Amino acid sequence: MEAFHLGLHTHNEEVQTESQDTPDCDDADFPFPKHWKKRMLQTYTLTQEEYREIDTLEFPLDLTVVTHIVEELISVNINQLPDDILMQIFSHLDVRDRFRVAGVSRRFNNIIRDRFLWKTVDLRSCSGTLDGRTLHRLLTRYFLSGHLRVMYLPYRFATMGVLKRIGKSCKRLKTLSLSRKQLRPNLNFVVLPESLERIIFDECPFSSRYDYNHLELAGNVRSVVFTNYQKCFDLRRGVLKLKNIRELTIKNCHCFLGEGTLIDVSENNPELETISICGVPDLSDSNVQAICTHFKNVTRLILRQNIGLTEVCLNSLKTMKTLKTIDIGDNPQFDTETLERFLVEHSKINK
Amino acid sequence: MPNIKLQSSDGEVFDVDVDVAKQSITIKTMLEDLGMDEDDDEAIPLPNVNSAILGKVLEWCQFHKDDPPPPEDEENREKRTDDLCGFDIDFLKVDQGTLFELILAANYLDIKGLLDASCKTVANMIKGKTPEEIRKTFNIKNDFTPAEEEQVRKENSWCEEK
Repeated sequence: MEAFHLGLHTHNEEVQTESQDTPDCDDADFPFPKHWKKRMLQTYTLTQEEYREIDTLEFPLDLTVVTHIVEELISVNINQLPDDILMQIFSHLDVRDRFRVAGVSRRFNNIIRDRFLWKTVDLRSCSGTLDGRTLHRLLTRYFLSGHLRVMYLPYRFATMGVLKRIGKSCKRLKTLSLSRKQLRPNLNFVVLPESLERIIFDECPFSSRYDYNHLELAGNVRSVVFTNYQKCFDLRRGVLKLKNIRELTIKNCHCFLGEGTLIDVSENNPELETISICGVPDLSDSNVQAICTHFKNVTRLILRQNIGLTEVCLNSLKTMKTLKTIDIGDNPQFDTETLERFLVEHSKINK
Repeated sequence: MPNIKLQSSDGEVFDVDVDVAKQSITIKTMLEDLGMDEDDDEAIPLPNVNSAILGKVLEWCQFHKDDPPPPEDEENREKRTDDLCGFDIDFLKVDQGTLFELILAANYLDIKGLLDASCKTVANMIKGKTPEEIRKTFNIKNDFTPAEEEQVRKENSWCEEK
């Protein structure tokens, strides 16, 4: 059992008398129940559990007044970490946890208010709790600024009004993710900032009711990600809207594209350089063959964690002369020896 | 492999494989920019790190010496805290004082992997807790005035609703 050493001084008779003479010390420095403020004869080691329950503990010893006991219990306290490290710690928390942290102390509250913390804003976990008014207050006060780089919007918040505000205030936004948003014709991406490089469609259905000809991506978007799609037709409608992108990612989807769709995508996006398909169980060796046949300018291919792939697809990869970077790790069905031989050969050709 | 000597704040000298020590960008820069000779018998002083912590830091570096360099497009990666490797989880099962000292040392020595792992560990200790529970976990004093606290509580009340 881990134990804190309660670093109380062992007092002799003299000190005991002293402490009895000055019983009214500043209560703020004595975080324990008053009845402990008597005399202390020995040191005592608290277990962590006892320490947490310290308010209710019937302490077995009489204690004398000890100031700054906290520093003695824990040699370095969280408050001794500089602001930038606390900010780094808080950056790993989701939005709700960050606002709980704001309620801890003045210092924590100030760090949470710092716009630097809000480079990435992920509102996906808040869609059930955040009402429209609060959202707009938080957008103004915390989220939207020149510091914002990455924004995850759940379907409820991805309204034209919010997109316009993002376009106005976040001139350095690089990535926008839309989750489960039914993409309607009135959603116009042109309002988004020119800095935007990547859009992530996370399970967004593309309804057959709309023709989406209006679905123009903001000026410089060159990278599009489709993630968590379950239905082939949703994914197909989505990728068919893409024009002149450089990077296509399909991640964690339970469906894939037919050869006809791939041909259309390759014709619409002649500058496509990077294709990344990860966590797609439906991806087969013949799909990879189709990719290698139709995408002539691709220089980077990333195929990770696809359980349907075998080393057979390496034969098609060999035919792709433009490829500079290949990442085919974590595909469980691969024969490791064949893969290693292939990678060695490939790196030789590139040199 | 050549070794170098590192001296902790309390005077203890550690004899370390150069490649292990070079995971610290601070040490790497010292060796490269300041032209410190690897065969040099003189120990590099690290006045901000005591021997107990330096020993732990080097243990971490030893385990991670063959790690690939971290990916560059940090901004595009989703923030997660559940991706610590088994070694790091066990390595960081230490008391809070040691954990914070490791963070300070990783920051000073500029060891990104260790700083990241230890910050995530602290973040995991915060997750899902109420402000009062966070104060109790880390011994933080509530220094809000009652009026301020009420204000903050009101502003953030939305995150308590389920």
